[in-house]
Amino acid sequence: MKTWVAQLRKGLVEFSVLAALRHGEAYGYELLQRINRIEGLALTESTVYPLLARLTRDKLLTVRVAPSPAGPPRRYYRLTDEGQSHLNDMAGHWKQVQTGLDALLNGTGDRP
Amino acid sequence: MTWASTPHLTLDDAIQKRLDAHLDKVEKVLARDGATRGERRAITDELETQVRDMLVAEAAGGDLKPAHLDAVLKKLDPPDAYRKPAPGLGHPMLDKVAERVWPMNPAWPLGFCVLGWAVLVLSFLSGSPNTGGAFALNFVGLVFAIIYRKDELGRQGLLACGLSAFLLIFL
Repeated sequence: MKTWVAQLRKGLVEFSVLAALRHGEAYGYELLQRINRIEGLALTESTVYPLLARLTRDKLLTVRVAPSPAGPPRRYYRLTDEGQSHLNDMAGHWKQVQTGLDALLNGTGDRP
Repeated sequence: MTWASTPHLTLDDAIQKRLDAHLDKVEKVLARDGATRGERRAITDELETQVRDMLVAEAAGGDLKPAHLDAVLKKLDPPDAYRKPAPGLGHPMLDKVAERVWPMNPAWPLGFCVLGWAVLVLSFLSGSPNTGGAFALNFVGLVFAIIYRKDELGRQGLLACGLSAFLLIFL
């Protein structure tokens, strides 16, 4: 994978995880599958699970623990109000960047 | 998927032992990186849940065999992937050096400190104390310790090399 693609993805990991939880709670592996179903957003467990722990510590996510017959209790993650606000902020910045880059690519940006 | 719809999965002792060994390795890497006990537990629980979900798919309704676990573990990141990236040193060139050095063992600073004192003691016994050499080795250890300062062993190395270098100034 090209370095800049890897760096771009690295910078978008937190945004991707928060965005994947926008429409409902999920446990770790479920969230990972939700993200990896989308082309171009390949993430792995060693990136996502520690990030979930950090986002929970930072109070951007809340956890609901539910028993599972298949192993340890499942931890369902959900956005907190603070997490939702952080995600909205990120989405706003993302749209600005996207619009700016589109303008540059299409040659419609301001010219000196 | 909700827990109610998850097929019941019982692992035999041999498979559970192999799975536990993998989870222990991940936990060890996380502990060395300073993750709290709660975070380590949360991360390894997530990983175990994933392995069990993947085992259900891998066995496809048949008997679960150690080969199924091997196949699942092969698809996962190795335990070392849970290591945090090297901390930034404030300059791209230093970060590049740190990136190359990081895969080495964070016990290096402590190793250099011990080596420094070994050089001092041996040279002292041979009649010509080499404090300069011992100081230089501690200095190298100090540089490694700064690179590894976010690692528990690295922090111990920082303390040991720092104290050592300080003491050697007075010898």
